[in-house]
Amino acid sequence: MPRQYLRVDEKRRPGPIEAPGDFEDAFREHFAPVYRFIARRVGADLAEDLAAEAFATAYRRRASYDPARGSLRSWLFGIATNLVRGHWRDEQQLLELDAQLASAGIRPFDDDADSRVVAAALAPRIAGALAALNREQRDVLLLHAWADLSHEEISAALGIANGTARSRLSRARAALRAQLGEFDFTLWIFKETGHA
Amino acid sequence: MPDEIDLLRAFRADTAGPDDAAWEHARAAVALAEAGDRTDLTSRRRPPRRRRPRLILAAAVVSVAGVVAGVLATVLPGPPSLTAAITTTWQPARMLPSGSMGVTAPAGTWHLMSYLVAGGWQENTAGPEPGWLTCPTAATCYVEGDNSTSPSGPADMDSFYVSSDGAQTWGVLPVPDGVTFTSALSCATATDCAAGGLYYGHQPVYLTTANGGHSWTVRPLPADVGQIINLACVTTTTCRGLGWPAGQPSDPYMGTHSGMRFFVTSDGGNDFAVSSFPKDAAIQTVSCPTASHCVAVGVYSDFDLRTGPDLDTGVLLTSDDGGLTWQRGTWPKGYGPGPFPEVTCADASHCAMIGFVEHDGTERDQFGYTSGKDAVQYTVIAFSSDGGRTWTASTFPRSIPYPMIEALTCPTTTTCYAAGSDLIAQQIGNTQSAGSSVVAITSNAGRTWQRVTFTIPAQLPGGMQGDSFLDIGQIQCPQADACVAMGISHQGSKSTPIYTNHG
Repeated sequence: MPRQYLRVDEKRRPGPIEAPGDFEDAFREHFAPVYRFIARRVGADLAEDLAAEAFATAYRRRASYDPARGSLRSWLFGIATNLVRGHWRDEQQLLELDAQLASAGIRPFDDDADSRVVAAALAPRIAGALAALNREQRDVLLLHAWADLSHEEISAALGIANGTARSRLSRARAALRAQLGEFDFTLWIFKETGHA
Repeated sequence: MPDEIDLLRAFRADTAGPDDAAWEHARAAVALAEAGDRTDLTSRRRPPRRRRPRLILAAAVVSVAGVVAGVLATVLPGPPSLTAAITTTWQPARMLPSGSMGVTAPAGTWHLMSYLVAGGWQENTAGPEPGWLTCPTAATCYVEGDNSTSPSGPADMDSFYVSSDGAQTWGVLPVPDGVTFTSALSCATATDCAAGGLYYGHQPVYLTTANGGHSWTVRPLPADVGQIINLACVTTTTCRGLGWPAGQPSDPYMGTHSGMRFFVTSDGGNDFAVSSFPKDAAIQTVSCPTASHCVAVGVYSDFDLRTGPDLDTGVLLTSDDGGLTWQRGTWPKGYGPGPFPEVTCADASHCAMIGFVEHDGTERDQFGYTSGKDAVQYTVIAFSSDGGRTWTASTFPRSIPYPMIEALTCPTTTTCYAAGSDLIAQQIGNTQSAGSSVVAITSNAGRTWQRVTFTIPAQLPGGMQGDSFLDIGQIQCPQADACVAMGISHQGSKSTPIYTNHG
């Protein structure tokens, strides 16, 4: 059976959330990024409810937050990820819809095409690749890419060991590359077609 | 140079942040949670009162909680403990809804045999992972049910599953009250088995059954044995294994700390001989093919807490006196023990272990990928023919890209089965997956490997996620040509696929 390793987080809140003012500070600082993380995963329609629920849950469970186990940020993103997990089918449907978007009109990109424009054009391919990942892989990958969590923070957020987070992230990246095929990250094009 | 993470960061990057309505919605939800707090407190502790300032409320919460905790600590007894062995009464098995696929296949052909359990094993949508699989014979298999609680599931989540028809159909038996398993079952015969456990979550115990789990004897373990995490029984009374010191809190990361003990019992769990490993060794797996020879593998325990244990190099120990003393071996170059160490010896000379390869991937590897930091990880199988002293790595063929082997078993000195996953995409119905389950077989001690081809369903069975077919977590081969493998299902699936290569 898999064994887990010690998890350690270098970005820690100095103490537990005890005073209401502490929670208010946490809410002000982290609500927008948590909301946006959820919205990117399941869409804005669901994000409002889920983000609100994430912070209500955080409030109810604030006594269980232990700064020694990880940063406040990672704790909040962990709660958000658990809530998103309950909407796996919604996330999957959104990705599949994105993956089915017509790619007509996509052309080779100019040098000055910024990465966001390129990524929008590549969205069907990326969405398809994300849709093919399993839930664990997708969670670690998106916590890393969209929430900017480190290995240590991901392990704290998901309650998994540091080594497991590292291994799972590596696996997810390799799976994503395998799904994306031969993508030239210098030119930001798929090699087999010469364009996205 | 950009990589796939940069590409991902740009995907849906134009998603807007919360608008005023979203902020207000969240504030209202938090306020409701606050009100719930107050309601809970006031309804239990005092008459209704007017809303007070938040700071006072917080002080009240802290003080009331402190008083309640103090009272509970002095009034309520702790969890039950055992002072002597207990034996449970014989219980009948309850047959589970048939998960049999009704497939008959020629011997040697791998196929999906059944699901454990068709009617739903994992009622919790978060899904507890399946427990350990043990097959003492080709016909008899046991699965320790996970001990997770489920708010929506039945009360018998702590269940013990048994099949006596080669994993085609399954029955369920109760586990003794308060007992959760901490090690895989080890069986000297089809029905004589032992396992480590915890009694009411705190007391290490030794479990034995002489009738395939219909009744159990539960013995408290001596403190120096601790909590058993690994057990191998060569007879109905003689078993060896690894224990974590008693007195330590239940620690999910115990495998990486020093202090693991090696134990032997020769009288069915009444008395134990215990020995220690070197202080810098966090031993995680041990194999004793004979009464005297043992091989142990682990990681160094003095790791940096910020980065976790070094998975790229490990600790290798051998013993020729039945585990009383241990000799340090030289860890082979090129791979480490990885996150799922496993060593298994078919006899005193022939052993195999899972090796873990990790590098930055800045160069194009054998599978044609280039990548960023720490993005390339895969496993190899290392073989030894001198009792675990020296090792030679065997890599898998290109037909098994990026293998991540989680289970290894060698029923003979040359035949081994490795199970896990790789990165071959597959589609089941409308569900696409980036990886596939793998069973790889060698019949020449790793010189060549053959990949098993599975037949997977055209459509996902109801209540299952495609993820269930992505990976194989455990494999047991009671005979060289008769194996049972179990998929994973911690993605919310309600049952777990079972594969076999016998009809």
